[in-house]
Amino acid sequence: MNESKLTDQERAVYEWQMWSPQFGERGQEALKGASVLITRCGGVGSAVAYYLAAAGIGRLVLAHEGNVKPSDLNRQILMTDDWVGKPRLESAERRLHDLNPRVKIETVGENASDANARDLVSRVDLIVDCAPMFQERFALNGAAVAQKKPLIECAMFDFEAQITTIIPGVTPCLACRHPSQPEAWRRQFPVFGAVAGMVGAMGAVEAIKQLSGVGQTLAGELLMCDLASMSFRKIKLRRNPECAVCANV
Amino acid sequence: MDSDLKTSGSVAISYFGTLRKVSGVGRETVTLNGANRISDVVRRLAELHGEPLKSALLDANGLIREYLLISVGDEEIDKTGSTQVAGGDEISIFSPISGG
Repeated sequence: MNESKLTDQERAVYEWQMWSPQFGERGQEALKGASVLITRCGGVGSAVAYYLAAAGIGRLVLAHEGNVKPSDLNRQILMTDDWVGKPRLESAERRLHDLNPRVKIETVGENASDANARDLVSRVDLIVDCAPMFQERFALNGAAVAQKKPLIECAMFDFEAQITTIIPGVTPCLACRHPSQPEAWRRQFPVFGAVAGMVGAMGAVEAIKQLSGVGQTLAGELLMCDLASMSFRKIKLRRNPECAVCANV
Repeated sequence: MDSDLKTSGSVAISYFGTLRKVSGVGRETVTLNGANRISDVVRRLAELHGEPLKSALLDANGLIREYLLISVGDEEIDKTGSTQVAGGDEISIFSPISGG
């Protein structure tokens, strides 16, 4: 991660967040010098990408395969109705550049997998995992732990959402909590865009804090949100001393 | 800790993720009746509800499924089953969610 001096234009654009006393110009420079991988840019990942672009992250790497479908449009806020049938990442890149042309965007038209996770993770300072399949999440978790890079895990189902920040060698990793995946999980599940967007916005906040060193992240804690009852609670997670992924890190 | 639950020797169980639909209840209370380990409580839940919750909680060997996250109060516990529970405890069982 490289700190980068701000231009006058950037100072004008980010002025209101630089008024945050702990953050200031130094925090903004940290964001400008940072890079973040977001997999995928669905309901959660779209919101993460949008808010990180708005915040002035230096470089975003977006990984997501496939074309926009009508059923994406209730939640994937980087996709537009006129882009149905065309690549998702073209729509995402266009929308993000419309919002903030200063952000560098790299697109990878693939979902995370055991084959590409190492390379994807190697390109960035921090990962925000928004994948709908456990195989993708496990692949990213393994690569992030191996490369000792922070990983923010955002997930949702129906009115529920969860988020935690994994710091390899310090906090539990995904495999500590879930050593295997549930057989019954399917890619299609109930989603309200607003629920996905809320946890995506939280993921962006976690990334901003982790990269700028401001505030307290959810390292070692799982924030559980039940928006059906608007209840929020934090659960202290435990490291598995026999974890196949992180026990020796 | 809920004092009424403690007095009656019961624990509160909350289900999250797909378990909420599978159990048919978001929350329930269960009397311990001498059970003092989390594995005893989960087996009792499986007996009380039968299928499909039984298979969602326990594997073919009758052990708590390793991918479940279980907390007592606000702390994740060791789900291999030896964790002690007591009347008044609030137990939450989370099935993993991965929605993006």
